[in-house]
Amino acid sequence: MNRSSISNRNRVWRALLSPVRLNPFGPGFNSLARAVEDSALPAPLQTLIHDLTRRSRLWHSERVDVARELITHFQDGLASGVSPEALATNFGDPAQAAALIRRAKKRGRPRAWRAMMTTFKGVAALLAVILGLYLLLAARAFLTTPNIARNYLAEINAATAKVSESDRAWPLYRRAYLAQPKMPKPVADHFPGITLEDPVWPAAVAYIKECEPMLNLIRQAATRPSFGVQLSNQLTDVEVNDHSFWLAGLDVEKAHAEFQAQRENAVPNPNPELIGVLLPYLGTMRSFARHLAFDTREASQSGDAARAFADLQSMYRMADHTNEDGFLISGLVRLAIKDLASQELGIILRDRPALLSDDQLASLAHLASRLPMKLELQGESNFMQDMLQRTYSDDGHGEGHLTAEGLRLLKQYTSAMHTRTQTPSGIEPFGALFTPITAGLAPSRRQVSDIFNKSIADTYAYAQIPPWKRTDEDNPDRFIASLKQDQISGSRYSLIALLTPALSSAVWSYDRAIQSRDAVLTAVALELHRRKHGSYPNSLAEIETSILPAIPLDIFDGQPLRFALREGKPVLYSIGVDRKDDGGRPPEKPNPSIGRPDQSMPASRVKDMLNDPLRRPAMEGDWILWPLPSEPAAKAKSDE
Amino acid sequence: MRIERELMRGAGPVAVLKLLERGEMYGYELVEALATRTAGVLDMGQSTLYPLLYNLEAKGLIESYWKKSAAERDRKYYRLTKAGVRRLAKDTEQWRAVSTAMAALGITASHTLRTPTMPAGGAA
Repeated sequence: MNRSSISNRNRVWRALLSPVRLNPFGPGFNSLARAVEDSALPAPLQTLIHDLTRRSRLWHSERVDVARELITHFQDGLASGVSPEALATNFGDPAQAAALIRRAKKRGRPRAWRAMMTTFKGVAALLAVILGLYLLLAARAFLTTPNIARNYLAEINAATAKVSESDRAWPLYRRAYLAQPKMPKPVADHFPGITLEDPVWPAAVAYIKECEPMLNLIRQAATRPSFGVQLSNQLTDVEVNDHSFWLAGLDVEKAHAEFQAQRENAVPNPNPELIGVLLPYLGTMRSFARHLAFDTREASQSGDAARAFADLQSMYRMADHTNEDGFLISGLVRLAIKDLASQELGIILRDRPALLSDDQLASLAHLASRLPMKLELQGESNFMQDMLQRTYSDDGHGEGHLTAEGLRLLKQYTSAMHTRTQTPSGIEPFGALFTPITAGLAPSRRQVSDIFNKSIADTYAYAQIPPWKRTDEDNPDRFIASLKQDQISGSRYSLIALLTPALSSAVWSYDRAIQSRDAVLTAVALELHRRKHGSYPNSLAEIETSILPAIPLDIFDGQPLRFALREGKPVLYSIGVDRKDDGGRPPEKPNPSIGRPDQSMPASRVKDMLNDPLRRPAMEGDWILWPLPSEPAAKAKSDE
Repeated sequence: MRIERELMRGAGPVAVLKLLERGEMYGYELVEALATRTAGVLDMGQSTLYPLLYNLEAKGLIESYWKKSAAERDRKYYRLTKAGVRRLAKDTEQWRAVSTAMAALGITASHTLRTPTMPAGGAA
């Protein structure tokens, strides 16, 4: 290291350390004062030097240097015979001189110091900008509040309230609910898929007989035109005290305590969040359907056609009741109940085809196909609009920004969702410190609304495409998945992630339910044809159109549903996931997951799966739609 | 005659560099030289001269050092650096071009200022 570099380093260190001398009366101060004092200059000139150096706010060493130079300057002037007053006057304005000297001296400071100062100023400016932006975002998030203009729950309930009491089914269902006897555990373990050969059959029959008052109320309720339930986010006393009926499998004592506490701590809210609405009746209705399904079986075994018919009729009717609220989950429960009814009707047609009369079969077929089974997402749209009005500000034209209050609400629901599903969080923690940033990064109210509406529109369009023609590109879930592709994007669109259901799965559920229903309608047509002509037709095309208006299409290839006669008995089947007609041979190892859309659609993906030796046995083969294989499989299906 | 500040800002540095061309000078000496050799035209107050000197020093055109004078007093002297020599040459050329242009316009005439005799190299 040469002397020059050492000197430079020392200069830099001196420069860096000099400004941190906080004591103005330290050694530096003394040496400057002493230099001026020792100069023996007249007082006005000393004052001028002091004044100028003080105003310059330079480093001490720089001030000493300037002071020394001015001292010699004035000494030279005095030596030339100029008066102190003239020297002071000729010098000019000390304040201006101090400012100019400061500027010039700073230019001469070490490059490292100047670089550091430039960096420091840059960082400080950046921090100031960030802080300013943060404060703006904070003001935007904290000083604006959502405008909750609509009461969606009240609007839904108002529509129900218009229905006259005598047309409402729910009061009767509620009485039926309260009339339910306790189900013995051995029966509950297998209910309702219990067969005559099952050891618990007698106990189940005894139980269902005990249920007769309840079943009568259900049958009566099912005839009413409207469901008529009033939605609420609070459990009633009945559910709190008798929740075990629809919470089978939970720790009853614990659940009871939790519900009791929830009820006691609830703050009355005339306009509660729609997303918090409780739908306990869905479990109740499923349970009713299971009771009716078992009663249908028992009636069939007993040869009681009237009761079996009444039960099936009630199941189809009550299925439509469950969908009155317009929520997707309710629609799916409706499908499940209809599917259960069709399954039981299919079992009767398989095991006791002569049980029901032509009129009864025609009537059930009419009920099964009465309403078009169409995906409805109005309830989900209401969820979104309600959450938007609770989380975003409102400019009165559909635009707004996420508020701090809205973030708190989102956190509450996303936490609840992740606790329930145990999925990795795509939602960042909403600490108060991050609230302005999170709110600032969030998309606008209109953006969220548009994206959600687009996904809903995409889903309707997807549902319109025949299942066998759908491709990956048509799948509405792809768009939603693209919004959640990383942590930041997932956080930004957390509201959409929270409220968007598995759209393609919902569509797929409808596809499969329609396929099952069509198969049972075809089975009814086959039976009616047999009764009329004495034998089954050789093909579905032979069935008169008055009995079977159109041959249903296979959801996997759009061709007419496959039909075969095996030992004189008809079989209806779909070619299944492998898209190959195996002559009605089912897969070796049926796997419930094969029913999922991601496992079954589209054909290109399935082709790759078929090359997997572990998957192939579950995928290769046909889907038998009717008659369903008797018992173990039927039991598994009902449990599912 | 007082020169406008903007004009002085352009002329001041080159005048100082020119004075230092012949050798080192200290602050008071420069003030005196500017006043006398330019007949007071470039007589800038000390409050202007010293910042000008510090600026030229920061730019590396001049350098300073303390040394004892004949009167046994410490004085801070200034002298041109190599960069200062180059800059003076460049500025001189430019000023000549400006002066010629001004003369062509009839704004300036080619004449020499009458100035008191000043010893070259300062009074150190």
